[in-house]
Amino acid sequence: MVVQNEHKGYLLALDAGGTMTDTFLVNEKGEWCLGKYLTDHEDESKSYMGSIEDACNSWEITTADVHKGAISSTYTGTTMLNVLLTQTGMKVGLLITSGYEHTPIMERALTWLGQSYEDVLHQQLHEHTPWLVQPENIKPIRERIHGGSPYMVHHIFPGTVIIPLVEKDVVKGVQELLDDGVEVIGVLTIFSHVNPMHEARAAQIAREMVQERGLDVQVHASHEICPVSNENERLKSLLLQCYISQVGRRQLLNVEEAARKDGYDHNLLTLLSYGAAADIRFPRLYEAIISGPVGGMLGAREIAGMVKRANLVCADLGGTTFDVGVIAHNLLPVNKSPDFAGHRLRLPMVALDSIGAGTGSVIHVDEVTKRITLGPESAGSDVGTCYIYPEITIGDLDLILGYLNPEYFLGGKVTLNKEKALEMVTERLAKPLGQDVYEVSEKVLDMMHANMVDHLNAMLLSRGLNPAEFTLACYGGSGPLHAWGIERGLKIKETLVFPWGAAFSAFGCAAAEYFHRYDKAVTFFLAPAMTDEIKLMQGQGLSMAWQELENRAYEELEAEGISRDKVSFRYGVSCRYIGQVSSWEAPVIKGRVDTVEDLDNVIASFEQVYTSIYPIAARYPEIGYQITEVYLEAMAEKIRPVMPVYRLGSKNPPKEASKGQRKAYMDGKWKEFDIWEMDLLEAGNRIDGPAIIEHPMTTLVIPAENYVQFDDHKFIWYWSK
Amino acid sequence: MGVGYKDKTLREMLGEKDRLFAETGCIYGLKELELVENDPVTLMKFQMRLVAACTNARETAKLVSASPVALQMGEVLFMVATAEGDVVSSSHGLIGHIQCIPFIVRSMIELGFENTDGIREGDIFSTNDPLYGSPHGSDCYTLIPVFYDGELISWAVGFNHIMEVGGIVPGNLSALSPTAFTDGFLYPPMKTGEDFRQHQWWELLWMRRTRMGGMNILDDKMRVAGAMAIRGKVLEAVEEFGADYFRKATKEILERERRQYIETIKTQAVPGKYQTLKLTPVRYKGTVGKLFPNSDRDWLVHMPMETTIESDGTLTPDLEGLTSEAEFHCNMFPHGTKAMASLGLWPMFAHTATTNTALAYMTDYKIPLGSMSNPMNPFTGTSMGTGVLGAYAQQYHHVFSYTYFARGFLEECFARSPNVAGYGIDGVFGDGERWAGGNFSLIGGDSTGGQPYKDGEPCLSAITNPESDIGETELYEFYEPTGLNIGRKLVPNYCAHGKYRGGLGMVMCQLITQPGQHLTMAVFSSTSSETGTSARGWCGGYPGLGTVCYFLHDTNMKELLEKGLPYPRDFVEAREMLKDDTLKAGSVDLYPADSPNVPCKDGDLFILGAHANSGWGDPVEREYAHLEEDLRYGWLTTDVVEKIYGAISDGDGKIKVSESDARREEMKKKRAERSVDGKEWWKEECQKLLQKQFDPDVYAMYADCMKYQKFRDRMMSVWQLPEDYQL
Amino acid sequence: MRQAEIASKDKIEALVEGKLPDHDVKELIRLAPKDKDRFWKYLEILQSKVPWKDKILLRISDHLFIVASEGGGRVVKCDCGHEFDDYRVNWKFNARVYVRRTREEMAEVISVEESILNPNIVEMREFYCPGCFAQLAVEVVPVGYPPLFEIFPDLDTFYRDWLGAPLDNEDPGWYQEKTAELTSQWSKEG
Repeated sequence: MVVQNEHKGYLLALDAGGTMTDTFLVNEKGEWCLGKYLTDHEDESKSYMGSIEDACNSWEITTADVHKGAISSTYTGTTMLNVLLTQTGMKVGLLITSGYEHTPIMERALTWLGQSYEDVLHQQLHEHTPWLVQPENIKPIRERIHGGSPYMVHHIFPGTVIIPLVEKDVVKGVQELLDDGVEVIGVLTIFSHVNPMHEARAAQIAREMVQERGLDVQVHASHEICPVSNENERLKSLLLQCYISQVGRRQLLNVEEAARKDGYDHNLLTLLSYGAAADIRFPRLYEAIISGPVGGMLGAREIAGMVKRANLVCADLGGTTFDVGVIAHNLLPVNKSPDFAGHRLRLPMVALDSIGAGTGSVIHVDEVTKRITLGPESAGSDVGTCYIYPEITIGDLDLILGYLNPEYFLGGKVTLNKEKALEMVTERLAKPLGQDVYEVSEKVLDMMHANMVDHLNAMLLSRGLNPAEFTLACYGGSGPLHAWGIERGLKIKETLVFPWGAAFSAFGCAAAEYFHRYDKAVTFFLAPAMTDEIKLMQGQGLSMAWQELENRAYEELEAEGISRDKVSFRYGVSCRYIGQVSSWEAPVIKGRVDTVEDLDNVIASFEQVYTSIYPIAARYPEIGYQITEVYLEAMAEKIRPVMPVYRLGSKNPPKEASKGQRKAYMDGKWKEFDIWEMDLLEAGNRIDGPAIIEHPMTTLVIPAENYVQFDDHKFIWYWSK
Repeated sequence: MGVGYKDKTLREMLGEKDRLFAETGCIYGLKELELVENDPVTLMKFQMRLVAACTNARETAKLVSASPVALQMGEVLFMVATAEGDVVSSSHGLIGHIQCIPFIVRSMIELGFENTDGIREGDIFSTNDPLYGSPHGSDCYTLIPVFYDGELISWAVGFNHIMEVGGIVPGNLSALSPTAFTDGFLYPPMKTGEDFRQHQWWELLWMRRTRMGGMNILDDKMRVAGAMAIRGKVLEAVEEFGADYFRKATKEILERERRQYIETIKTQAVPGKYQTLKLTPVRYKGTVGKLFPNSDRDWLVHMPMETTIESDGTLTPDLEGLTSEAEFHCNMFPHGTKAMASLGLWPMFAHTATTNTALAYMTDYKIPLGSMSNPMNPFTGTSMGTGVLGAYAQQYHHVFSYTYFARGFLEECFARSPNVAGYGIDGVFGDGERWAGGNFSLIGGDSTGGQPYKDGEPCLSAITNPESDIGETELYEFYEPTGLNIGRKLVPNYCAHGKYRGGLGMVMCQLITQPGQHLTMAVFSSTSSETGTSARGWCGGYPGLGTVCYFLHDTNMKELLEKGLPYPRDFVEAREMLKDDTLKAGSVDLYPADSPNVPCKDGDLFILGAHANSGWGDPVEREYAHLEEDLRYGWLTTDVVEKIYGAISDGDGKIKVSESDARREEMKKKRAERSVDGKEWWKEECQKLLQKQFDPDVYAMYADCMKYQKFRDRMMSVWQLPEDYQL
Repeated sequence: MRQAEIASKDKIEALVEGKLPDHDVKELIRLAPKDKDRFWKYLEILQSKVPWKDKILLRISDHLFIVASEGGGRVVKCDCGHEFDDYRVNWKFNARVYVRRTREEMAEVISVEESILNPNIVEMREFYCPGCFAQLAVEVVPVGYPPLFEIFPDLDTFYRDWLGAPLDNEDPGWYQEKTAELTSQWSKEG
């Protein structure tokens, strides 16, 4: 059970990545320590325990001590992603509206998702994703329901049955699927988000037949997974739920069992793509498939809360990618049709923009046109030619320019070869361009920074947000190393740097709120000519929709052991001008419409969102409004980490923290940079640039015109002199 | 005093640009690329700035749109152009259209806008007129001049393909429009707004001149919003890099890209001549004859192209022999032809980080005056020129797939013949409410042809837009509520065969549902099942299969549905059910592609098969393992596998090897038996030519095309016809 | 270098045979710039697969090559060994030809009846190798349409300027089409 626990104890959060499983462990005083362990993809309970043990070692306690005293343990696994990438999911059977049986193969022609601009143009590279369901396991069922139209009263009412469900198709399909040994069955009918009648009936028949045969075959219906428009996206969500969620849950239960054996007496939590923590028994577990990068943003939000900042631009720079996101007014914006591994899902996911540029990104030079491209190929943990990768990378540039210490990479566990890097960068970058090697290396970094800045700006401007009101939060293994370059290009208020490397995501998991999100498609029109009476009728519909979602939330949360009085709600709608294809999500304070004024408030909220993004010329209130979806976030309380507060010491850093000086190249010149050891710096210290602060997990670069200050949480503020 | 650089007029600047290219062969006369040579990294950074500006404008602005075409299919484009009109950078989307901007800007300059209405800060210019730069009426452009320090330094451009253009046939593309007066709402370049806002009269025009005014206005708002976002970003870039840098860098980018294209061609292609051909029948006879007597006929439209890959790596596409301009919908002015043709070049060698107009400086088109691609009549019909003449895009796929194959770059071959198929729709509901729509979702995802190392795939890419997307039924149906989609699927056996077969074609099948008082639908397509998708297959594979369009009227669908009996979901099922009489229809219209306005009633079926792509290589060389997969997944049926591929299956989907080997030998023997020597065949053909044994449409085609000397010479020499041979 | 790995001769050979795994094909497509020696590797692979010794100059179809013949000519040759004629003559005239002129004949190779071409306006020509009867090309054109000359390469420019390895018997005449010479001769022969 996950409610406020009176006994202070440990808070555990683990983020399992493709390579490492990071632990973030907090004690009752708010002190924290980190652990690391190689991810065991066969049995994640081993790397779960290993990583916690690593963390425990620094405090000389046992994992059992931690588990016995743990208030909660949150774990993001890699199983579901792995199952998808290795194509080792369940054997899926699909019942789908007759005439749509090739939909999983046609994939709406979205064969370019996740590709770069150049690759999208190079259509030879388009490809369909591997099948999540084999063509022979797709069974058509005859039925059709009408979805309605903007012409409303002039034509068919939404949800009208045009072709009744032919139940014998369902029976025949399920028989064949079960005979063929499918392990899970999905059901999708067109417009089931408007009227789920056929889909529900088909699922019911399937479940009965499964039961008759005494089989353990789950049946999922798309309206239970995500009752919203767009059959291709809904189908992807359904198929993922079928293909991966049971395998994923098995692995998570396995982890939970290991924790319980070690003395943990709660349910294990995991992180959902929209930034919520949830019990691993959560029915729509596929929603946990993309949660890794979300952790970092949750961490950033948590810290922003501690330092009283509501607006944050988050920049997570790793070896392979640069993930950016925006938190405005403490809210995480949600993308409802995110792309993932070549699939476009219908799933609320924290809006993140990822570009294929990190310190591992390979630099290519076209000798003829002198064009330079970064990535998408990445050296990953092989760093670059300075270590064991055959191609030059951003990491090589960081090294030859003097930012990275070849003797102190990963705290000295790896020695980088500076001479080799210099030779290779000269050979492959400077010579083909006819440029000085250092000058050109700096410019390539500048180019990368500019690209990142463009993405950050795009995130802000496409939401109508003003950069000057935002704090840049820079984290990830290479965030501190390049924060200076990003900060220079952004017209941002201030910058905050976190030196915790990849464990920052684990911290974010610990900081996640406990909530579930529910979306539901609706069709309400508010035309200018309508009377108040008609408008209010539609308003009642809105109230009913929210209420339905509330009931569902109460039910699900109750099953997770959370009583009604511990649940609170956030409400919202998706709205557009009549005729528009897209909708915009707008939060609504009151989850009921009782008066025309309430309804006006809903519209006003939409108008505010819309006009913050688009110029006045793009407004069109004369044509009226359509509300397309409602959503609800149902929250329960959950304990969150508290950061220790240190006594603010002197501005002057302690002498023992100094590691002397090193030359580094910046702004076209070699300059002496002061070198510091981060762990020896104290709260209140100010370090003036040019300086480099080293840490086993990362390196922080400070140009001459900047300085950093460690506040009483030892968060690092980065300022201009 | 002009609005351009150093008070020059735009006309002066344009003249200078033309002169410099003519003199040097380099864009803007840039023999040396200083910025590229001295500081390529900063230039790259600048270039990425512009790409980001365009991409972000598109991603944000497209959401304003009212059309699934814009939003889901992404038929939207945002661009940055130089003062002279060259596009330097663009977003994704309908990228062919960047080629139109230089023509539109040129038109505005030549029309004297600088001196008449003036070009000022805050002005909004709009056009969709084919005579002045647009391919056809549904392609709408919005241009906003970007002023810096009093100088027009750039154009920010928004573009999209709208859903309804107000023509004689509803929708956005019409396979029936004899003249510009039936094309719909065409507006030449004009100032439609000031102070960054459109005038009210502009919205009223949309409301009065198109069937879906509200939606078209939202699209217009989208173009303005995106262009304004780009304007802001351009000004930021000018501030950051300096105006001199901006002017210089934009030009150098273009010249550098031109050199890059040429380098790719020299690295991957083989110089020489490549002949390709596309044939499309146009059926007007009996349709519009009383109103438009010159149109009361049929055509076999002849679109030959001989592409020379020159020794310097540039391209000379020669269109001589092309059908003459006529009173039909297939005409297109040269800029439109070039824009559409360029679509075929992006995947083949122009896939660089910045889509731009450098292509125009390395392709020297020969387009005969008076042909449908270079009409002399300014009022000629152009509503579907883009569909028919866009066929030149596919001819480029053919040329480059061929040349890459010869050079050994098999992986770059992309042998396909794309299609543009869709329909317009116009109705009056039961209560008298009028509505209309246009749909071409099927072009969002073409199947691809067989390639020299693998099969084609279904629903993989689109010709018009690199971000292929056929959209969602649940969205399209919302806007077209009378067409209940009971099939949106692949059709077994609907592909051309080969050692590597083409990808299966897709179909949409609609049950007409409560249309009310009145409903008509009109289908258009760029391929026809009369002639297939192209004039040839690949290395012994068969050419692709064209569009199939059925209307089944007065059916017993109601009864079938009530009784829970099987009903058809594609045209093969419909045809088989008609044959065994389980499906009944009072009348059946089968169109090989385009249809006139067809009235539809409740319970009618409308079925549109997009097209299917070509095969590569001799079918009898197809591996048995591939055929076993085809059978397992149901892509091919056993009879087809046996008849065309000579592979005999055992009923469980396994191919019987020795029996099949023997069958294939027999097939080769049959080839030997019924084929003749080339010379003998040549003689037969000569006789037919001499006796003029042609179908009237073929006769008319030859008679027309032989007016062109080059095509006539070819006919005369190949067949050794007597000098006085005339048709 | 990775380029050498991605575009190794083995991989190109696998590509030619249709056996290169998808992932490797994608790497080849992404390769920029492309391997400069691709053409030579391709020629070696092709040469090793044909049973004859004439030097391949260019591959022009699945089975057809322009080869340097012993007498100094440049002729089209099928991998089965059958020789056509000078490459400046469209080889289709020297192939065996079968023309499908009726719906029934077309139905043998078009597996969807609605897609059978209109025999009134087009015919379907199949060109076979007279030696091995492989199907070399299929075209769909009106009766009397000159066969498409699919590729007529400028071999001298290609070898000299683009590959930097000039052929030994260069002559501007190699880029002059000669199909009409053949038909003119046929015409005289009657």
